[in-house]
Amino acid sequence: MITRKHLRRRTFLRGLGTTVALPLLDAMTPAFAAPSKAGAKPPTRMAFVYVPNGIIMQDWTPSEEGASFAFKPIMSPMEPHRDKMLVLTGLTQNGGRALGDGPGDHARAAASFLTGMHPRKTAGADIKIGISVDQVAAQKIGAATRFASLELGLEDGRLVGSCDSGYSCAYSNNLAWRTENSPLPPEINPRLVFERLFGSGDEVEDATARARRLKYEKSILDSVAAETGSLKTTLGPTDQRKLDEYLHSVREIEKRIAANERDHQDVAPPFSKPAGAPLDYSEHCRLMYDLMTVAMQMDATRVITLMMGREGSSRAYREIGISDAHHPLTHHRNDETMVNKVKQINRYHVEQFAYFIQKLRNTPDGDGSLLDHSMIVYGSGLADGNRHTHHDLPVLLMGGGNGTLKPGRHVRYANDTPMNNLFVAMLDRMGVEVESLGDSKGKLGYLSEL
Amino acid sequence: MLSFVSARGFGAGDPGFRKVAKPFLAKHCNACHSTKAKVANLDLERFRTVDAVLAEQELWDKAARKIRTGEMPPKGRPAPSNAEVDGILTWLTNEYARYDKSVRPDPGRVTARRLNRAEYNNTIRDLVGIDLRPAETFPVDDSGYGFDNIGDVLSMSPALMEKYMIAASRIAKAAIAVPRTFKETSDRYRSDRVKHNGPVGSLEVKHSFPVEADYELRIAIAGRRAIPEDGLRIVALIDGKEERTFDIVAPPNRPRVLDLKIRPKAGPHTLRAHFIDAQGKVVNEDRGMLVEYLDVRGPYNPAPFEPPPSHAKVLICGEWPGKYDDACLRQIVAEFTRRAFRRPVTPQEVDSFYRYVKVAKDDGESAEVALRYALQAVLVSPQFLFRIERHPKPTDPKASHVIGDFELATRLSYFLWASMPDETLYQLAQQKQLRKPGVLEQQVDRMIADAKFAGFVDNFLGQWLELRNLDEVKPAPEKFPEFDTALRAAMKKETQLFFEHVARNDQSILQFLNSDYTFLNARLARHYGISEVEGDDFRMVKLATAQRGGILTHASLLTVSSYPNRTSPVLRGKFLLENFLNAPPPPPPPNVPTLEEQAATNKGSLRQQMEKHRTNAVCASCHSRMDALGFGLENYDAVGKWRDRDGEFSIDSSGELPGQRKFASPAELKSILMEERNDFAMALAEKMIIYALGRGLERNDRPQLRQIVRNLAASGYKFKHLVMEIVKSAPFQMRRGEGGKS
Repeated sequence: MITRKHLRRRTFLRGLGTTVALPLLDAMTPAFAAPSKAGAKPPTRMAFVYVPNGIIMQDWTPSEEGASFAFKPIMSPMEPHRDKMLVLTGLTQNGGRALGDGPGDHARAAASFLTGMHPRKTAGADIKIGISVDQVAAQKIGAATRFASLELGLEDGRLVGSCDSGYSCAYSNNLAWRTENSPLPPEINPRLVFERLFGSGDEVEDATARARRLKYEKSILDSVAAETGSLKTTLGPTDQRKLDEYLHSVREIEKRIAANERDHQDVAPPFSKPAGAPLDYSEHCRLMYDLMTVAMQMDATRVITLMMGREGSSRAYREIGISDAHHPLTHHRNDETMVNKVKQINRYHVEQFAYFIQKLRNTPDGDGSLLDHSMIVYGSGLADGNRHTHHDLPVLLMGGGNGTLKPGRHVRYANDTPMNNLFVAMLDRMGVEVESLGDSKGKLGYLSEL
Repeated sequence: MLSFVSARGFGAGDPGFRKVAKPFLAKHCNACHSTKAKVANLDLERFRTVDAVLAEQELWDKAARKIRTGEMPPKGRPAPSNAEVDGILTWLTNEYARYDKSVRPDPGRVTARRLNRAEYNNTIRDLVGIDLRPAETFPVDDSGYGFDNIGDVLSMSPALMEKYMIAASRIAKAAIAVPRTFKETSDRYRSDRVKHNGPVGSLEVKHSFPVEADYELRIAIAGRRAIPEDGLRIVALIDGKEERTFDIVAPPNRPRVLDLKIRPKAGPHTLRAHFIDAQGKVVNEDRGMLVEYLDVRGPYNPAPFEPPPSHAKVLICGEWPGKYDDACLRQIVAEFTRRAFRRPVTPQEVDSFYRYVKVAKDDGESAEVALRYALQAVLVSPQFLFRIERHPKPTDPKASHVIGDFELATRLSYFLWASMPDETLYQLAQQKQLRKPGVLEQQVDRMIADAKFAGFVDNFLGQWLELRNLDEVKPAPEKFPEFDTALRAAMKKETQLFFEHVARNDQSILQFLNSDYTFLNARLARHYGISEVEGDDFRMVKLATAQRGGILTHASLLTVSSYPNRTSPVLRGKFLLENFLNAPPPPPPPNVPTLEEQAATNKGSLRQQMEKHRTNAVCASCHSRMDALGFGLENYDAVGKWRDRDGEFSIDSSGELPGQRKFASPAELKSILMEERNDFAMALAEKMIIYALGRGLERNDRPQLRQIVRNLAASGYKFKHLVMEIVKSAPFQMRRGEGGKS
């Protein structure tokens, strides 16, 4: 067994010569437990995993309710985790619907998914949606960890061109919204996520050098914050808002530096630094899921969002022999060949997600596993991608929620139950009490009781 | 805020409306678009005065387009005579022109723009003199209105701020070197610890060399077997190139060690040792021997230090290393801050950054290290990261003012270079010369001729024609085996060179629609079936046939407007409408699925299937024009190669645009587009203004947009004229305050 002692930072730095992507070795985990306060109850973590373009629902939703439901083909990779999952049927994101704004369902699907709000239709000026559930949590509990939240993705924002029917790309590229008009763009490069968690390893730094560097960084941040404050008074409201975003970011980094000083230890990463974003989708997924697991395990953050593709994605999944672009395929008009290809993509996504759940399950955490202490949502802001429906969304809630969930069931809710009811219920379990969020009408029931 | 001025006196008589518009509407439109029937939710009957018309220009722009292209009145209704059509269109054009001259130009308001990735990279390059490209690792900037330099959309997040901090520190380190001494070290890479992709028995590692110097490379071989009869030898390679080959002579029952001296340049290099057999073939199987470890020792005799090019830009006084007095250090900080902020700085501002130098020196740091901290602080300041324009009355939406000279220099340089102003622009701003007659023209000329104009080509052209997506497209390899990185690069280059040629030689922008020349290298010429172009270098080529000519026939554009495995007339038609004809089609109405055509199957050709679809009247209203345009380009496959057949069907690239305008080939389609030159000019002008301003256009911008296009047409559609018109326009030269908005 490898212990932390064997993986000192120096060894790691020398080992950086090779940047082969290795999945996290399970054998390493004992050396790498969260810096937990001995005896304390492990924290509850939450993550949201988004898949674009909807799912073929007849091959997703189990026919039976309750504990003894049968798995339909798309969901079947999750079968080993039946005991740790809640299949939630009937949830709706009403904000994703047109509500008089015409086309643009893809942009609205992603924008409404974690906010429960209806985005303002604009190609640029005054983007506006609402704060997302992960950020509500991050703002309340984020101070306890190095990163209030992590935003990750597997596909870069669309490089050019309009995104969806007059909606700014900000809507379809981002899940997390810190304020109603500040999205938090996802990081898609596993190497950069790794560097955020473990440092760049560019140079070996001793304690004195580190302390000195942090001192200057703090001072720099301090003075730019002051500079921004006085600058703001001379500007109009929109420019002020831009500088507020900047100021908030500066404050966040200051907090991170403080947390880093407080909790700093020479943590050796359990796997070597990835070279970059791999071309192979599964490999890319695995790296991200490994990093998510390790971030949760280290208690570097308790809130993560992952977009497995930007909404409206036209990725071609050649890895499973599909060279057609995803989005056009989902407008299948019930053509059997096309429907089958979409099903394959849907299932492929679930397979990747199952890897993550398995990983969390294998990772000991306090008195149980990381999965026991987590709530992981998997879903899409569209149900039927062909018709662009925003009701009956595909939603899984994985994990034990630190004893607050009763998994192993398929629950069907009344039609048009707001998805945000689920989020309010989840926030409650994170110790974040909110009266309402977005269009929520109360807390979703039947999560911990039958 | 810009209410239409009825005091101009049209209200009373309004003879134009009564004589021209009213009869036309009554005869050709109001049967369907009456207040009662309101077909397509459009009521034209309610317009009774020219004022009412001018109050809803978007609607009338669209109506005029439909009348001009013959889309309206629809088939089956009596068509208006040419004289009638000319009559109403001329009337509207004249009314617009009169209106445009009568309104006070509203410059609009631009939100403080964060430097986007391209601008950040270019600015750092020009600021420190080293092309470090630190923004490659920043998150992709969201775009709006088709561009990623829109102030309102460019957001800031803690993750990005973290990257700015890291980048600032790296840039400062790269910009200011510190004298270094190199300790000799020894690093061992063991084959049982290193994972690599080299052949069996070999060892491959990446090693970072701190300095160009001599190093000792030691290769240790282990193996069970004695002298190999098959004559195995071992080769040492650096970055894939053979450095030396050793015969293996001694019985290797314990590590046998081979030494060689190497002298790599500073930086990471790949070191490899592998076995070859007697024939010189690389061994990739277990022959009982392996490279056990590689040692790298050194550096010895390091090369003398060569100051980075940034020293000349940043260390403007004193002497490297270490000889800087306090006045000089302060001057270095002051100059750097001024250039980074793109405006003069106050002594207080200089102090706030010079402070770091003092503190660091008190901490015992060298002058160089102390300066780095000051640079780092400047590089994360909001005044560097954002282009902030001051306004005397920032919250008064009625208060317009002419922007300052430094702000104008900055707008110019980010428009045409996607980077900071150079000293020439700065000095002109300093001396208040920029707005003197002729100076702007001169500067625009100079900037277009400058190599930094590549920043405009990359970013404006790259987004207008979606060329950036060319880096991402993945044509299906089974269908297009010839598509490789060389072809991808060549496609992009052709369009860039062509665009640059038109810009630099001040040609007509109509050449984008059609031309009798292009730029090719051998690879692309082969793709186009054009012979007698050899080598990798591009050159201007006169086109002998009508198969190619104009950007519409560039493989780049044809590829980005296709699906990975097939062409899509719908996508291409939409692309043309949006980017060339200023008529972005409305998205399909709710609950009507997008018309996604299927690949050619045995159910008939792609075209036949689509035509069937268009029998649906709802789809037909938009798709008749969109698809026809796309069909006209069907002779080009999904990677832009000419074809006469698609599978078993022969290509039919004929079509009919509304108004009975028929074409039988791509060349004929282009001549029809040439007739719509005004729409094209409007499309290009609108895109370029959005890019230049960093904001979307609003209704109050329309008078100026139309004026720019009128002037452009009068100039013969010259490229530089378009740029100058934009630069001289009120939105570019001025800004106004902002009202309280939610």
